[in-house]
Amino acid sequence: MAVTTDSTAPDDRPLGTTDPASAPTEGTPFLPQVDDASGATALARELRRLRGLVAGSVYEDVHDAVATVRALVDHLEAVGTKVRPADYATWGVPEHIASNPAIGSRNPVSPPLEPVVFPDGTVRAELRLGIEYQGPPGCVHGGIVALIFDEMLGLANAAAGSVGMTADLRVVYKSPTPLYSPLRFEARQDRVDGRKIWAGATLHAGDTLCATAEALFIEPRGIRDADRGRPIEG
Amino acid sequence: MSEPSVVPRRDRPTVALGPLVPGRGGGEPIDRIDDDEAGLFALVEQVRRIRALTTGGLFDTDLAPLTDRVREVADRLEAASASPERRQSVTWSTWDFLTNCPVVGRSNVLAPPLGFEMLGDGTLRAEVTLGLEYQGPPACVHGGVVSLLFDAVLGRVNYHAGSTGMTVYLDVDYRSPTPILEPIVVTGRQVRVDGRKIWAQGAIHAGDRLCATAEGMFVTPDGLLQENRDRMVRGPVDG
Repeated sequence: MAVTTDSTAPDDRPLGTTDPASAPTEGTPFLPQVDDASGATALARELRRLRGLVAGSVYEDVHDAVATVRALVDHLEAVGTKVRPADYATWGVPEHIASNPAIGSRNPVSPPLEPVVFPDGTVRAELRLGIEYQGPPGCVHGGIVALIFDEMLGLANAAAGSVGMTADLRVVYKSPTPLYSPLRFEARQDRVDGRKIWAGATLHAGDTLCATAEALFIEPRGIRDADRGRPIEG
Repeated sequence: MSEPSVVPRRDRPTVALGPLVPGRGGGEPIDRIDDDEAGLFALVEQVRRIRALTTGGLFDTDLAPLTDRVREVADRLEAASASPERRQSVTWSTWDFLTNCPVVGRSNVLAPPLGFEMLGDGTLRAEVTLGLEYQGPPACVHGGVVSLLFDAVLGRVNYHAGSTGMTVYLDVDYRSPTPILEPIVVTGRQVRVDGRKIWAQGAIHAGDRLCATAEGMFVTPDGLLQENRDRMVRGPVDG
């Protein structure tokens, strides 16, 4: 089935139509995140479960749970060391990826993403989004689509060895993105011109094109060669 | 690569910043839902505290016992919870969807949450400080989170202006880094309606500094929302 997209890529093949015959179907895990030794990743996982249970829910009384969780947080605050933003001065250190709001395994706000990369530089992430991501009835919130696109585009840049901050992001919504259904995000770097980097992305639910994105990124001044190809967030 | 391809791009939308200046305030609180008899908002507030800690904390201790207790809480909630389909059905039949919104919703762990005020000219405004869990580049709000905030403020301002729709396009221009851990002001206003098409624009400021602007076009869906809603109000077909 032919899928058309607005994204024009350097080769003729539109994004989101990776030919299964020519590419490994699985892809190579891109920036796999290992669980934090302290157990923070496992904790984030439980919090995600909680997140899906409370959004849009009606309970008669959860005050017991409030007391339990409050005690837990008080304890966490006591035993943990907060990291100041200044300590995140290096792009792409493991703590930085894991705490990212789109891909980060330690961040209960993130879906998270488990991307794979293909030999042509296409980065793909497959996921389902639950009720806490709802915008219109039964649909994923448009802003959530934009959030994941921005991250995917950044990952595509990282896969191509570039580092950039988003200068503009244009998302076009083609059809509603369904909740609970398997979704497939794909992104690829388009071209680089000096400090300017262009990338494009698509979102499919099955054969349906839900949205496309294109973005311009600007490489921060003073970025070091060592930072290139590291995962860049946002 | 010989001849780089040229991606056709729309012109940057010109956003009228006049009404979107960050210093205006004193509007009426809007979209605020405070009834929390069951304690759900209070529960989510506590989870938000953990959210920031797991994201930006370093722990030498083994967190497994704590995780076990969170799991117990989740297990108990799961046992008392309706199916996601049923919950959708309830939220949409009662129009109680704001508390579920991933940006505004007080019962949504994903949400900062934003608290809006409505200014006299129909501009929607929220002041918020985002923590480490919203960080992209070092010390900056993730660019995708910026887009998320914009889509939400534009959607809500359309709703309050009397014509709302689903996003057709969202163009975000990032003018300077949006900081975490300091107050930012998110504003939005509807600029034009033409039949089913709706345009809205927004800005994010940190102090007087302009961080980002956005324009979105929205279309009132033909029947789709109503269909979805009707189906959800009816609820899932019980086997």
